[in-house]
Amino acid sequence: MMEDQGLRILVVDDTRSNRVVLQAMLSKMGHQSILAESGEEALALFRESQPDLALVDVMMPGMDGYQTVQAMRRLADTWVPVIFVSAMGQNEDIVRGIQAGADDYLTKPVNYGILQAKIDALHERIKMSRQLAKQNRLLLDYHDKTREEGAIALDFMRRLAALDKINDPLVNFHLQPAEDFSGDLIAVARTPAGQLHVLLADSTGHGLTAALAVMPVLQPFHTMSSKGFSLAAIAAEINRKVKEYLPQNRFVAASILALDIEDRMIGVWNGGCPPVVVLDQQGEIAWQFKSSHVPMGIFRPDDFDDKIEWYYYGDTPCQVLMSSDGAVDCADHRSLEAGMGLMLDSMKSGASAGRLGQLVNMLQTKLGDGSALDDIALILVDCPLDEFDSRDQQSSRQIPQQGQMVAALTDSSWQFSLKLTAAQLKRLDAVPLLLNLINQIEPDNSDVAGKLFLIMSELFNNALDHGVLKLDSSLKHDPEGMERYFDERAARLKQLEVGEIEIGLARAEYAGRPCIRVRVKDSGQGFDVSVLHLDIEVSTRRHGRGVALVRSLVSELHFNSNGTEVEASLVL
Amino acid sequence: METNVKIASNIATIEVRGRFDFSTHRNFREMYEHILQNPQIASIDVNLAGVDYMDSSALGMLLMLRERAQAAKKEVVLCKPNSTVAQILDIANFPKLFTIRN
Repeated sequence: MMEDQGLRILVVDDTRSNRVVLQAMLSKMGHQSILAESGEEALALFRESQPDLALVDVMMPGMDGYQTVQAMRRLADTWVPVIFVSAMGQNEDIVRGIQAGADDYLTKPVNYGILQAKIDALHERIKMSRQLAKQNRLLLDYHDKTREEGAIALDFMRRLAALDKINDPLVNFHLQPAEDFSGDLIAVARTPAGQLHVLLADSTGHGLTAALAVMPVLQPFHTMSSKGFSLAAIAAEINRKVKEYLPQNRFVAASILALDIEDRMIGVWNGGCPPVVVLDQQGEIAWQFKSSHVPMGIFRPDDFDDKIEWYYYGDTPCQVLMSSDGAVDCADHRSLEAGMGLMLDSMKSGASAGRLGQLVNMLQTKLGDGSALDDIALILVDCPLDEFDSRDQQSSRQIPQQGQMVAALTDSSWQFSLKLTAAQLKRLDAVPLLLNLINQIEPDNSDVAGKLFLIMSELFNNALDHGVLKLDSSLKHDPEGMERYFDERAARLKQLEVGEIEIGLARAEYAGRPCIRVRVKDSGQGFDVSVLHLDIEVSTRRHGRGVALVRSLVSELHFNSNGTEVEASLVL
Repeated sequence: METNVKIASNIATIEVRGRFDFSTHRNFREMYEHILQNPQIASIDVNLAGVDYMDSSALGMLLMLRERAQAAKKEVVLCKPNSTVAQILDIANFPKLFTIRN
């Protein structure tokens, strides 16, 4: 409907003269009429032409006015005003008409002025109603779009946070966001030495922005833990990342815990989180790590305090509770002490295995039917006397991660060796072949391919050039030496009749870390290992660098059997 | 391995791709011999971006090139090594001998 075009009005009356009169009046007012001579016809036209307004006679054969209007009301999904037009002008007639769903009532004979006034009044309301319907549609579209985007973001954040991947048997947790997105983040990692690292981060606010803000802490936590960095170094790096990525007014409160079961030590860095509490077997407080730092992202790296507080738990197994602000606030919003007190009380009765459940139940009771005001995060870490302890106590749980790591190592270890004799040495480009094979076996470690190539290439070529072909490196000294050396090499290789090289490759362990071990053995005479150049000086000498290069890349390099065999381990 | 030379004004760029080891030797040498004889060229860039693997014989070849280039009063620049190649160059103290540009 264009604003200045007048209304499309459905006129329903069984008397032709009445219809004609109304049509003439409406036309004079600038409106368009749609005429129906019965209730049944009116409904058909109503559906078909979707009028802006209806004028309905009350007394009609077949469906009367009341029935017609009630049917129309059921049909329309938007508000279409109806005016009854009737010869019956008694008060009760008017009341009944309004009750049947009419918006107004006119008595016959229709007065032009009154009709115009009523239509004009309704016209304003029609315009408003249309505007409202339009805005509603926009709002619905917007709502759908936001919901869809939210769902995608939520899925994305959940994948990033990977809560479902946290399955360390020592760690129990509960995370309950105030909105779909949680500004609280929990992460668990193990160092190569088996130390447990646990992180609870709580960014300012909640919802999507808070969830986004907490993300920069994840990557340094996982990456550095897996490389065996100390808690202090990890805390400093997280602070640097948060400072670098987040706007000035955003920061992240965090507590990070390290558990060293072998030494029975618990280390904590707490910046802005409620106290991290050590509970003894009776559920009493054995120690508290209060917040002694400012949250992440406030200090510049130079001013950051990476001091870790340590607690020794000796011969008594214990549990450590880490919680977010939102959890303590939910227990008792009046003060941190009161909230913590209530939380710890709720955990006292019963065995240590059920403590987190009791705490969560208490908080749910506090919340009642309402949802949390802030994100709630709780972590309970078991600190046993040794890893086996926890496995026995919780036999129904998954195998400890350290056990898994050992199992995984055994599962993923492999080895093979290849002995090449003269015929293959002449023909095969062995190193790329083997490297390709390793890349297929270890697709996740393709980043070491460059180093592995160098190691295998140096060791293999040494075995071939000096062990089997008996070439002298000093050939390379003079200016054209390199050329001559390679020519000589090609010539001797062509004539080679006897000689072999064995290359052994294995995935093994070096100092508890997975490594690839390369072993090369040749059929030559060996050499005096003590003359090797193992140090690299700034030198423009064109040879003698190979072994030194290998030595600086690997964790372990040694020559056996008078130099005919060499073994190198590259840590993954 | 593949090599390829481009000359733009007074800079020649040798692009090495794939495996850079003794098998490359002849090819690499032929590349730079031409350039060394060209008086217009002041600098030789060795683009290592495409090098996946490298061993000490490649280092030897680069040193050879450097020696020959010095005699011909030309500079050698090593460009865009990937992280492993850069690490190998570092260990060999090459940054003290060459200009390395990322």
